[in-house]
Amino acid sequence: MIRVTLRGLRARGWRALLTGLTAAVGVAIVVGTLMVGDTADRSGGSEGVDLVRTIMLLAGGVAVLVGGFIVNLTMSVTVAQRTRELGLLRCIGADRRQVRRSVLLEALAVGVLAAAAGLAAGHGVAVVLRAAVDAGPFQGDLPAGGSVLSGRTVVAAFAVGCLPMLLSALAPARRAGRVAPVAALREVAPSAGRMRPRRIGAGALALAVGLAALPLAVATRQGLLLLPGAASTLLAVRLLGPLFAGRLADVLGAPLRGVVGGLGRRNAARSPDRTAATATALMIGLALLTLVSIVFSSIEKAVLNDVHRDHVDFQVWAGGPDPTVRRAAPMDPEAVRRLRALPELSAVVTVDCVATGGATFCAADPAQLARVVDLEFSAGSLAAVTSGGVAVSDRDGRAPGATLRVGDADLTVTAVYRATDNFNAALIPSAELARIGGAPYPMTALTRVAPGVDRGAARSAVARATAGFPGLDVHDRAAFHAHDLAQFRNAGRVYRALTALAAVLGLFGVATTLALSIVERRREFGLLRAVGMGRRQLRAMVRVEGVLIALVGAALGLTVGVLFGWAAAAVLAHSSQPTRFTLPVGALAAIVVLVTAAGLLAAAVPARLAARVDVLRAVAAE
Amino acid sequence: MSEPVAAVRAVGVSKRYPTVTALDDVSVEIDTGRMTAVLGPSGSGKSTLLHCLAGLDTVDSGAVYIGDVNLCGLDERRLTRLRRDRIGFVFQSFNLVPTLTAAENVVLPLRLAGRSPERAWVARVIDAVGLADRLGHRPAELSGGQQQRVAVARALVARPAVVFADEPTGNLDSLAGAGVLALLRRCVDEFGQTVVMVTHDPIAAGHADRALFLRDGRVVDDLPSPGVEQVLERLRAPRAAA
Repeated sequence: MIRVTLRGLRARGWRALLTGLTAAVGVAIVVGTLMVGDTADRSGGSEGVDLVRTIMLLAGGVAVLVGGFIVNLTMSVTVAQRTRELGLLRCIGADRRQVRRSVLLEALAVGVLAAAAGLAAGHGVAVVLRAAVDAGPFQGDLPAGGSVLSGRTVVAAFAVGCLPMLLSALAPARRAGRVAPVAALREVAPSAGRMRPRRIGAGALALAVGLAALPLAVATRQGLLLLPGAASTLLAVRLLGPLFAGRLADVLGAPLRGVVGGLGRRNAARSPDRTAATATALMIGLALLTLVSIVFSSIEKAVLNDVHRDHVDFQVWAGGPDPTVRRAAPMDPEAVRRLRALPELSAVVTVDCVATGGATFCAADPAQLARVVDLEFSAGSLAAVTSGGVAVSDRDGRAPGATLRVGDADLTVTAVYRATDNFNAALIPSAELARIGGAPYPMTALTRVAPGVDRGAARSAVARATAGFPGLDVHDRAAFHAHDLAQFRNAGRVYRALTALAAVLGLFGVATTLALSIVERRREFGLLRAVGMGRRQLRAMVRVEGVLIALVGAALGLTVGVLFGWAAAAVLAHSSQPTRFTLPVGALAAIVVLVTAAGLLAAAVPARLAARVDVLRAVAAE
Repeated sequence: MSEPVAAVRAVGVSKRYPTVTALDDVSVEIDTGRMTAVLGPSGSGKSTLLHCLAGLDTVDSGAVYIGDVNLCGLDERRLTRLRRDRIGFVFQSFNLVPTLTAAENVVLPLRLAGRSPERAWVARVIDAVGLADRLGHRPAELSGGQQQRVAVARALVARPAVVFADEPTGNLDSLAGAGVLALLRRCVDEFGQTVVMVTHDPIAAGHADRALFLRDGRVVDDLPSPGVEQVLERLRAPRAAA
């Protein structure tokens, strides 16, 4: 039996190659990540590497998952195409278990090859990853010297390469075992038949569970609930896909006119199960990409909104050189007086603190602050902050009417304003602060350059005014924002690139499906060529099919991605991370355009194969 | 009888494969508006002849003319166009595109050429093959005989110079086969269509106006108005005819 399997594998060599390719990429990512991780551990590890490791292992896992889908697809198609051969094996005495085992063995062999290839390619991934960590936004620091290949990594490579293969080959193997000996004698393989009600029931249940996770996660603010929800939705799409994938392909192809477009459209719709399986493999990556795009643009929108509300040009404080570490040290009031005297500045607002009852309470005067920050009140207004009242930021969590106890004084919250990334202190009138705890001292000064004054000149003036005071730092907010945003956008690019990788792997699936279908349809292509279809028309027909399958994946991926992206943004909005849900329409449109282009690319080789079909051999009777 | 020009001509055509000579200096003229049967035992070269005449296969030497066009001078693109516009095919099996309905299969060559079908002509062809009530069906929903009749309609629809039929009844039971043969005969009588049919079935050859016998890559006999008996006789004693 093993010999039969290996012969079969050789006969279907290019298929095994396509099947294993995706899994090999997944293994390579996992191996590279583990290697870099081990290198970092040798030097005691670093936070940057830990983050990269988590993300990369996730990406590798997704790649392996997609690879499993593709194996499931190829094995199913291969078993269907080999019905007669399998029937023959049964005829000459192979029992069900042997047939089943031959399919599983084939999958295992592909898995071993994929693992070995992935292990070799993993070194390359490790090199790239190292460079990325050294240069990248995560600021990892790795020791010099080569990466480590540990025994654990080798074991992981083979586990990750083989286990999903075997798992995804289980169902096709069972189907192969069910092939009756008489199938060898039949002219035409029996069709796959209708979907069983049990499958539809399980799919509906998975869909219900997956969709229920959305409102549940948002209501309970538990982002982790989205993970099983997404997995369940994925399962639902795989199970129910055949019900709608064909129709979806038909609808997406509706604008296509002409006989070539029409044929391609019908080909995409003709085997809904296969189209669904392929589209699901692509959907995983695209849904992730959509989700990540939504989360990042939602955060970016909130951050940009903060930046637009913040009119502080230079902030002076007694902190260190690192703007992200704020040391609470009082400023010399004389420095503030000098700053106020500068004609280059139109506003100098201080955040003042008082010591009261062993604690420090800091606040700014709301009327003053409004000159450098656009205060957006979600409850109450500037006028409501009077004696005995206080405005808190929405991050404080107190609602209007609540009490804020400062030392011996009880302040009533009369207004709530939206915090910015730079400012979330309490607001009370200056006179009130002095009443609570004695003489307030300035903690930081927020300054705004007067209109018409050159920023450089203003910067020098501020530097001169603070020069005599040790420990004072002048901090350029505009530069900080630019740096901050650049960092953030870099991180976004890395995440998007990693998730896009999963989508690219899905396209391997499209190429595999098309290539397999073309082998199946040799005679049909020959017939079309015989009755006058040109090579170019034939290629175009296959490309239409590829693009439509890819677009079904895109439609599913965008739908799932937008749903879960919205939920993720909604959960994040309740966290300390400012987030405002926004649909990155441009990015999503770009995804659709790229998927279309990639579908064309994935169809390129299959289309050439199809156009090369020998008319004579295809039409000549068997 | 003076036919103006032969619909198809082969002049000194040879085709060799590494181990066998499939066609050995074959010259034939296919008469316009008549039905010619090509017979011979398997391996006699009859299918190769049909493929060469139809421009599906290339010849090693000699020339093939459809009307006055020499196929040997045509590149792949022109050959495709010629097949689409001047030649109709009926194969033994797998004649129809499974995703298209019967009606769509019939007009496929016209649609591929970017021509809009002439309604009257299409209606007449469809009427002739007697499938007006099955037009919306997919091939899988049609019987073998019905599928072959759709294929004949498709072969006729572009008003080709010649229809090539390769064992058109090979996969059918005798009743369905007789229906298809009668239909091909009607194409000749009613539409003046030129038909070339490769077959090993004497009954099929009995429907033809002329029978060509091939053996070892040569035309060994040429029988006008063949009767079934005559054909059987020639097939039984082919050597005597040479």
